Amino acid sequence: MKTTTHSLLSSELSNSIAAAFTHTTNLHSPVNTPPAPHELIRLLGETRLVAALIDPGSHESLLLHQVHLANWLAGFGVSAATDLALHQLCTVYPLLKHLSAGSANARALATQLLHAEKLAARIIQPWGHATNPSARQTGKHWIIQGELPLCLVGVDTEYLLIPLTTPDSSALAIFCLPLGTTGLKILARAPVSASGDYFIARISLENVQLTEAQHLGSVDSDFMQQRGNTQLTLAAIAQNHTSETVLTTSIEFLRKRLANNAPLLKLDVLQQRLAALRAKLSMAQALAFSALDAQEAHNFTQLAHASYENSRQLLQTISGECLHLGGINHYRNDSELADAYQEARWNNFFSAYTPAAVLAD
Amino acid sequence: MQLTDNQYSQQLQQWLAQSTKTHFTNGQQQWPVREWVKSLAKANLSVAGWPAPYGDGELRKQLHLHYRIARNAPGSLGLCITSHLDIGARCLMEKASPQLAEQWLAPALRGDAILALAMTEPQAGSDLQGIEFSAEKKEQGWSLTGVKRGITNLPFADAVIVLARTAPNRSPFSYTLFLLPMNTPGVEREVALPTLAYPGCLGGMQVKNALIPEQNVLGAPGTGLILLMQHMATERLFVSARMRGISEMLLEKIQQHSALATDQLAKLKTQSLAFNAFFEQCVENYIRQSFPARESASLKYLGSQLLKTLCATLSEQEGAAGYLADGNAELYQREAMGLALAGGSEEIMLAIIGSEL
Repeated sequence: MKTTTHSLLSSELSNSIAAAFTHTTNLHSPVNTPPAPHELIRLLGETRLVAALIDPGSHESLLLHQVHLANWLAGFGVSAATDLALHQLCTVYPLLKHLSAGSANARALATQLLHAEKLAARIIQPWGHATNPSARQTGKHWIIQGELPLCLVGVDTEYLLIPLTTPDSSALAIFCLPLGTTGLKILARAPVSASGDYFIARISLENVQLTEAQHLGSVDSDFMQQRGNTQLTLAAIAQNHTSETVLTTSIEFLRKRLANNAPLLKLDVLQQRLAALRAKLSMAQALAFSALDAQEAHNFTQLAHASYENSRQLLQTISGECLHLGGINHYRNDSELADAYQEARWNNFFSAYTPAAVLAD
Repeated sequence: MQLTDNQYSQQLQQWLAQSTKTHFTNGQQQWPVREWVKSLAKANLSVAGWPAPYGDGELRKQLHLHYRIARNAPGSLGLCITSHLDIGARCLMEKASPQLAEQWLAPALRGDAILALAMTEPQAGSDLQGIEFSAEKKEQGWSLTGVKRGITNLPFADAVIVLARTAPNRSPFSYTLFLLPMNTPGVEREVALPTLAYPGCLGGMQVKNALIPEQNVLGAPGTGLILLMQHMATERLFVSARMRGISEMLLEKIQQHSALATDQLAKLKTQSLAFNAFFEQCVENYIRQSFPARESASLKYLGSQLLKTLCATLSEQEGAAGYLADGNAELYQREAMGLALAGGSEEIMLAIIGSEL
């Protein structure tokens, strides 16, 4: 039988990798404070899990490391911080590593990322959007002009990696743009966490002048798409993990809560609502795993987007339904279900990442 | 649907193209169930995925058969063939004694005998432990009495696997499975039920003191309900293969319609991809013999939801034509309603999932 992520999850290898991630969680203190992206990467680095993700040794090991990474991150809540950490590991690092051969700057940034010293903000790329910035070369410099309509920025992110098309090449030129660069303006910002540490920004680039050293090299669009697809798939797995946690919390609450001396969970109407959610979650998990298994297949893009959209919408549904079923007990700011509900909402920003046309094809 | 044997798939496609052309070009109203089973057997396509000595044991091949027929043939015919081959005959293959299998399985696979599986009664559909159809041990074998109704293939079946009460209480060990030949004295076949879909395919029987030999017991006496519950997982998997076939065909029809908004189409496509992924995972688990009731119920429930959504979309797309009684959209809509009940209704599926929360 073909090896699939689903079948691997019951293996001993899976158990040992899961245990390593759990051990990493225990290193974090205090447990209740969601860590920042650099803190998450530092934790992974200390236990060699970053190294294992980069060089897993086998296809099976890679799949399992990816699944357990996503689940591990989700254990800290689906948040801007975990999303940014996933972005560094799935997209930024592979891109920098790819460019390292021809760029000392890329090599340095890759090393700094692994040491959790310098992280990139995330451009939420609207595929085929007309306002992508353009780049032109004038002498020893590059001039960048345009707008980035949706970026996720955190207190510990220091630069943007911008893929641009240039007049001379069909490949994507990658530029490193520190957030403090002259000409880079944040036109609008919306906080996506209660702490205000993370925000969605609209950024304009007005005659931004960059040196050749900041031009890290070029990649073809397939390379970028592949990395983005993996990130989407792992984000879907993380969201499913959060949905599972929320559903379990809700079920446990309804099991303990009594009405007429019987658990609320025994009420058919509630049990059937939860059962429908449980079935949909099983399906979302299967879709995300099938996308992960299709990393080398021609339909990876469609499966990655489908799994992300499906899991994103399901998390919204489950968190909303479970908040409702939690009654007034959970309709308060310090409730786990309320946290999940609020965090699920900010994920909507990323729906722009999935064009309907990719799925409708 | 994942299938590594392309040769089987091609042969099946060719056979379907030929058989559909032969039987449905003149608007034929009688479903050629027996002819199709015979023809499938002659082409070595009917049980190619069964375990040896019948086939090569590749379950996906068997699921592919019903998925393909669902995509290509009118609904009633496909449902009847699934009920005969992989619900009825498979049950016999897995649970009958060698003598009983020798007597009935070979003719069933040749198409000389059509089988049905009878659980539902006029007063007991969802509550199998509430059935009244009973069997009493006699010196010469077992005497069966009761009524079954709403059973696929019963209007023309030659033998029926029947669940009967063999003890008065509701213990799970109070029920036994029997193979009841329809020509047994005391068995009276009812006329086919006038169902919304599947005309002529669902029927009933009234049985009074029908005496059958001891060897017609499937499994040990008293284990019928438990055996049937295990078999229900198989039935739900095969019904879901049909749902997947019809769903994919409907989605292709919907995609051809230019009026549908891209985001609406994207949503349907996502639902379809999700169901397909879950279906493949369920097949994987079934092969590994790790396919719990919760999972088979989830599969059936989700397939039913998807099919209804697609049918409703097609009806809306076709405007007034979508609601005409003999229009394609309405026919599929009715079939979706019927499949939602096969193997247990959506509410039963949710109750099964809910009981394990």
